[in-house]
This record gives sequence, C-alpha cells and structure tokens, in this order.
Amino acid sequence: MGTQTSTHQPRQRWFLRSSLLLKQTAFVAVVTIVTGGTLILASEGFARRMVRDEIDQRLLLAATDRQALLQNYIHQQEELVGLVASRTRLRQLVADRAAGKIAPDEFRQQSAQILADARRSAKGFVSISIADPQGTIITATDEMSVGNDYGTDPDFMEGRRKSNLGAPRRVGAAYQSLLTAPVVGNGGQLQAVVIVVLDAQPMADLLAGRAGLGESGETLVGTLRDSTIHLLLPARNAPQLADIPVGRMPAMALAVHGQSGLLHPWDYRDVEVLAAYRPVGYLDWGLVVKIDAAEAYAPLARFRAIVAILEAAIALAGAGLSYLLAKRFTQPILQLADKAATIATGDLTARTGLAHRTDEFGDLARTFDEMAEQIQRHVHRTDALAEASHTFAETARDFEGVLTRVSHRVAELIGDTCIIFLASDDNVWLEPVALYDSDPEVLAFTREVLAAAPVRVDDNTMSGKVFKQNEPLLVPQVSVASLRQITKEEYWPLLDRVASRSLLMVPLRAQGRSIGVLSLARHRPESGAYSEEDLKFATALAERAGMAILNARLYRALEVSNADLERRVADRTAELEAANKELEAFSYSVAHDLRAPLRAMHGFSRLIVEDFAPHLPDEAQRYLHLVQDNAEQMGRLIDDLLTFSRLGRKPLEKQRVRTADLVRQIVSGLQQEHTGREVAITIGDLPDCTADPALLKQVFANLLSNAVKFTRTRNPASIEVTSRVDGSEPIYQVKDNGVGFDMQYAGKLFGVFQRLHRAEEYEGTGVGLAIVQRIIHRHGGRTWAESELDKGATFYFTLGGASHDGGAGRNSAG
Amino acid sequence: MTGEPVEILLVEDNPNDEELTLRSLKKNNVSNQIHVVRDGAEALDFLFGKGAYSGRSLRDGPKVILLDLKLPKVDGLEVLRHIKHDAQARKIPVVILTSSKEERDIVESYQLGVNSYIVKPVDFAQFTDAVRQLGLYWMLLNQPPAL
Repeated sequence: MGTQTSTHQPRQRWFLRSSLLLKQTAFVAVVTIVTGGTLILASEGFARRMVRDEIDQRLLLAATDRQALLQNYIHQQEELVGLVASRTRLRQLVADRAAGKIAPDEFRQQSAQILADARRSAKGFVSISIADPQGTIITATDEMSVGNDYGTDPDFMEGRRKSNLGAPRRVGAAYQSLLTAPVVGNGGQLQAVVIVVLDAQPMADLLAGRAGLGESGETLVGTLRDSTIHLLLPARNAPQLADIPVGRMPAMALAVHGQSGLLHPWDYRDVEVLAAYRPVGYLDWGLVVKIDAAEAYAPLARFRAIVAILEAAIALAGAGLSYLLAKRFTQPILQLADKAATIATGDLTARTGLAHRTDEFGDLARTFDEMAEQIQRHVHRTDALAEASHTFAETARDFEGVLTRVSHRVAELIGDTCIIFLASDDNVWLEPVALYDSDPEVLAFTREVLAAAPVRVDDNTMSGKVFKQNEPLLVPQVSVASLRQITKEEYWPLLDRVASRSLLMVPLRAQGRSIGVLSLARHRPESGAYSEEDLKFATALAERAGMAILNARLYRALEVSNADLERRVADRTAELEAANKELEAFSYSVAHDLRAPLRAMHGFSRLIVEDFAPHLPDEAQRYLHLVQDNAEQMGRLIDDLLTFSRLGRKPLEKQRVRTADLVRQIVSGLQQEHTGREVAITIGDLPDCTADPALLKQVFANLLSNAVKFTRTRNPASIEVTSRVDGSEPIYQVKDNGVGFDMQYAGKLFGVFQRLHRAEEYEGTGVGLAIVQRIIHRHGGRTWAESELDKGATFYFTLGGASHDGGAGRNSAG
Repeated sequence: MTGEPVEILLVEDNPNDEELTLRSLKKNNVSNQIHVVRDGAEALDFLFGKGAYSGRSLRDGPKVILLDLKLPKVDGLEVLRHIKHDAQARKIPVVILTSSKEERDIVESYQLGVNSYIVKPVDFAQFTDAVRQLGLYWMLLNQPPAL
C-alpha cells in the first residue's frame, strides 16, 4: 500500500498544479503583461509627443535665435563696409583720381593707407580693395591684387548698388565672403566699389554654437542655386558637401522659399532628425536648425526601459501573488486529493484534517470526512459479513461456535447485546445458542434470565412473534412500560436491569422458513437508536447465518449418510475383492489343472497309436486322432481364455510406442504363417502413439493373423495397415482382400467364442477379436469392422484421445 | 533309500504327467537314474536328507531338479525358495516344468533363481520334444560345479 501511495500522489499533485496553479498564474501573468504592454505603448506615445513638442520648441527658439544672430552679423558687416565706402577722405581720393587730380601712385599710396587703417579697425577683414565702376581693382591693401577684374562677379555687381555680403566661398581651407559697398560721389553717381574679402569663420562660429541643442544639434545655412540647395557654410558632418538636391533637404527647401516651421525629415546623412526651418531674412538664404531624432528621443529610451522594468516587476508580482493565492486554494484541494488517494488505497482511517476550516473548504472537508466515516462503517460491516460468511463456510459443522463469534462481532459493531435463538427440533422452544455483551455483568445477568425462563415459540414474546411471522422488528425507541406489555413478566427484571432503549430482531431463515431469531438490544445511553441501516446489516447477517445453519444441518445429515455409504462401499469392495481373488484362483487353477488332463488325454491317445497301431483298426486310430485334435483345440482355447481373462486384471503400462516399428516386427514374425503363399503386406504412414506396447502388439498380431488366415484363398493376398486422422484421434485400420463376412453378423464379431466361419474352414478359438476389443477398450478407444461377403474386410480401432500426441512423431514406412 | 545315485529328481504330483515325462526321458535315452517325489515336502526331505530320506547326501545327486509348481503340502515356489537359500543345494540347476503360463509364476521363479522355466505343452509330441531337449541340455551339455 505504501509504495502505491508514493507512486500515485506526486502525479496527482502535479496534475492539480498544472491545472489550477499554473493556469491561474499564467493567466494573471498574461493579463498583467498585456495591460502593461498597452500602457507602455500609450505612455510612450504620450511621452514621445511630449519630448517632441519640447524639442520642437527648443528648435524653434534656436532657429529664431540663429536667424537673429546671422541677420545681426550681416547688417553689422554691411554697415562696416558701408562705413569704409563712405569715408570722406577715400571718396575724395577716388573722386580726385577720377578727375585725374591725383597721380595714380599718389592715389594708391594714400588710399592704401586709408584701407590699411580700415582693415585694422574691422575684425575679419582679410583685405580691402577698391575697384573702379568697371570692376578693375585700382587700389588695395594687397598690392598684388591691383589690376584684378571683378567686373562679372555677382557680389561686385550687387556692391555697385548697395552694401552687400556675398555668399561665402571656399578659399583653400577657409571660407571667405566678398563684402562690397558702392563709393558714391557727391552727385550720387557711382565712383568706385569697395571690395572686402571677409573671413567667414566668425559667421560659422556664430552658427556653430549648439547651446540647447545637444550633441547632434547643427545649424545649416543654405541658398537655392540652380535648383539645388547650396550650403553656404560647411556641414559639420560632411565638410566637403556643398550642393544637395532639393528633395533631400526638404526643410531647407522650405526655408529658402521663405517659409518657416517644423519638420522631421531625414538629413543629408540619411539620419532621422527633428528640424526647425526659417528664412534668414537676407536674400533667399534659409536656415535650418536640426537635432538627431535619436538624441532627441534618448530620454524616451530611458523612460521606456524604466517602464519595461516596472512592467516586468508588475507581471512578476502579479504572477507571484496569483501563485500564492492559487496555492492557498489548491493546497487544501491537494490535501483532500491526497487523503482521497489514501482512502482509495484502503486506509479508511485517513481524514482530511481540514474540518476545522470555516470556509468552503471546511464544508467540503467535513462532507468528505463524513463520507469516509460512512465508508469505513460500511466496510466494517461488509467485512463482518464477509468474515461471517467465511467462517460459516469454513466450519460447516461447529456452527454454534461460529454463531458465538458472530454474536460477539455484531454486538461490537452495532451493539450492545446480541442473542441468537434457534428453534428446537420440535419448533416449540427458542433456544439461545449464542449470547454476547461487552459488559460482563449484563452478559451474566442475561444468561441467568434466559436460563431461568426459556422462550416458547407460542408465548407472546417479541422474539416469538418475529419467529412466527418471519418478519424483522425494529423498535427505535423503547419505553420500558410498553415493553412490559408485550413481554412475559419474568423478563421484566431484565428489562429494568438493562433498560433497553432500542430493539432490533430479525428472523434467521433457512429456505424461506424461520429457524431462529437474531436479537439485538441497545441499553447504553450513548448508543442511540437502531437505524434502518442497522436493520439491513442485521438482516444480511441473519441471512448468512441461516444459510450456514442449514448447511451445517445438511452437512451433518450428509455425514451420517456418507458414513453409511462408506461402510456399504467397504463391504461391497471386500466382497468384490473376495470374488476377484476367487476368480484369480480359479484362472490359476485353470491354467495349471485344466491342461494336465488334456495333456494326459493327448499323450496317452498318442501313446496308444504309437505303441499299438498295428493292433488297431483304422477307425479306432482315426478316433484317437480326433481325441488328440480336440485336446489340442481345448488347449488353445484355454490359452486364449487365460490371455483374455488376464487382460482384465493386468494394469496397463502405457508408454510411447513407435507404431510402425511394432507393426513391422509383427509382420516379419507372421511370415511362417503364410509360407508358400503370395501375401503382400503394406505398412502405411502410422503415427506414434501412447499405449501398452505388449497389448498393442497383441492387437496388431491378432488382426494381422486374422487377415493372413482369411485371405488363404486369395492369390495374391493383399493386406494393408494404414491410419487416418479423424478429428483429434488417429484411426488405425487393417484391410485385407479375404473372404470377408456378412455385415449382419458384425455385432457378434468381437464376442468371446463367436465365430463366423466353420472350424474346418478356418481354425481358431473365437477369442482373438474379443481380446482385441478388450485391449482397445482398456485403452479408452473403439474398434469396429466393415466388410462385404467375399470382398475383404477392414478392421478399425482407435486408442482414445489421450493416447496420441497429434502426429508429431509420424513415422513413415513403406 | 540311501546311497542310490540319482541324476534327475522329478517333483510331480500328477501320475499322468509323471508317466509321460518318464517315458519321454527314457525313450530319448536321457537317463535312467530318475527319482520321483510326489509333493514339495517329500522333495525337501529328499534334498536335505530328512524324514524318510534321513542320511541321504547331496553328493548322490541329483544333477538336475525338474520341479512342478502346483504341488501338495509345499508348493513348487516354496521348494525353489528353500533350494536357492541353501548354500549347497543352490548349485543344483532347477528347471520348472509346469502347466502354468502365468506371468507372475514365471517372474517369481526367476526372482528366486530358477535356472530354466518350461511350460508343458498339451501336444504330446511337443511335450516329448521339450523333455528331450531339456534332458539333453542339462544332463549332457551343461557343466555343473562340483558339489
């Protein structure tokens, strides 16, 4: 039982866990993860929007700021060049030069002086030159550039009209812009143009500031030139890049068209960015401030990580909590299942141990315990019934002893006093044959009362009534007063003494008839009333007891007749043995004594012929020969008869026989019986068998000898020994082509001394086939014959089912 | 009845069989020194020198005993038993010559140590032949130990 429990329970537990614990935990985990995931997505969208708005705000601010700075810078430079161009001394010199008032050298010298001063005072001025209205440099801080022609330079053209800052151009490693402004004569006419080569680096520095834009922040300035965006200042991440198709810089495209706003495009690096664009407000220059989306949203990733961790924590906590909760539910279920398994293995004393709980589990546990209790009680009673049946069956004769034990058991099981009455043989008395109460005092007293006042069937007692009416009686609640009314007065002391509270009586029946009463009484205050269940139990027990009693009585009767039978069998056996002995002695005498006189007859008649032949007439000699012949015949008869009678007495010594070998042996022995004749003896396929070899040999010898004998008139004679299987047993057959016999005498064939041919035709004693039949019958087989007069005969025999092994040792012979 | 040497002791109660046996033996010239006793008790007396044969010694024969089984007083098997339990007498060959073909007689005889077992045929010719052969065999061919 122990091993069974240990192999069963873990599986069951696992099963419960997988079904409840796991499912609930998994469910909660899934719910938490799904809602958490949704929350993460929602909050991320929200956060992303927040971050983007903020970044956009910063970008807009930065763009406005950069525009202001750039505009300011441009105006400043324009003003500075304007100041140079409007210098009175310079204007004078230019005017003088135009008017030819001053020598070219003088002009250059003086103007260069002025220009050098101006260059020194303005930061970032690389060089200052002055071109005549046609674009030819007439004076410069750099002597070398005098004579250079700017006539077609757009910045120069622009500078003829007003102060102008040209787009920066790459000069070696640096960026420079041309800053131009007109020098106007007093009459308002253009006299010359100031051309300043301006270092663009300060402008780039101005825009390179990344305050508030993070690591990837960048400001680009561009203009539209020939349908492509031309970057005015090098891009930070691609200094060589200058001209970019419009489509790849949508924000700049908008800016150069004078629009401002926000956009989230991919930049020149094909990186997603957040960008603010606006026009610089100078020429068609546009300005874009951008920041990498990755950087912009970096805080979002951290936020996402935190939320994910939080989500995981929530899911874990949820699953854990639900596991604990489920465990709290499944634990008692497991405990119940565990106990149920224990009870299922037969340990009915097991209880759940959860009955103290106040919740639903408590209810379940209490119901369960109650059920176990019921089963236990039921099993006890069933056990008692089975035990009673068993002991009844086992001790068929000593049923009084058994009844005592049963009364003991019943009193213990359904209490308190148990009396078993049996009707006397004349059906006048109810005799108490067994009595039990665990209280020795009550027991003694009850016994005393019963002894003092025997119960008559016809008296008006309850047990008498139950017996006569053959019906059980259940009195759940007994009032002593009412009991007295139906109880003989002499029992009143018993009634008072034991103060029965509940009574239960069932008739003991045998073949439907009352033969006694099983009487139960409860007198202990704690015992309570008998129930219908008790009645059922008592009835079932009484039924078995009744059967046992009937059996015991039958058994006793049987024993008596058995003993008688045994005596008679012994007598008869002795008689038979005596008769057998006599028969044996008789056949022994026959063997010995009957042959002696025959020998004498034969011997002396022969002696007469031998010694006195010459004195005897032929007739006398013939008679004497007849005497001899008859004596010989008588001798053969006696031999055959003895063989025949011996067959009945000798025990069979069965063993495995190789039938074919046996037959071959006989056939070779028979040869002298047919010397001079043509006899073909065929031995077919004969299966091995189990038989007494000596007797089986006799069977074949007799049949073959007969066959040889009755084919005497045939030439050639044909004899076949074969077999065939019919159902489970082989049939052996000896067939000849001899004279045969008339089937109407077939019934006589196997009788002793039965002959179907005259002695002078075919010699013989008429015992041979009787011997065959007797041997075959002793083996449990059958023998029969088929023939037609003059057309041969076939003799068949079997050896009984057990004599053959199914042909395993089949032995073929030709 | 002492001192007379005997070659064959024939124990036979049936006078007819006795006569036929004697005739066969003599006719075939087997022996003339044949002594006949008619029951088992007499046979034992003869062999062990008791009763009517007191003083007789086994040195005077017989050389072979032809013993019937069914005998008055002491039966043939009992006689055989006594012979084969005696240290001297057991050396004399005993031939059972009986009408009984009973298996148990044959088996018991051999268990007691019989030297030969012959069933008397009813046919006198066969009978004579049997007696002649056994006489020739035991008297002439067989070499007995010295007594």
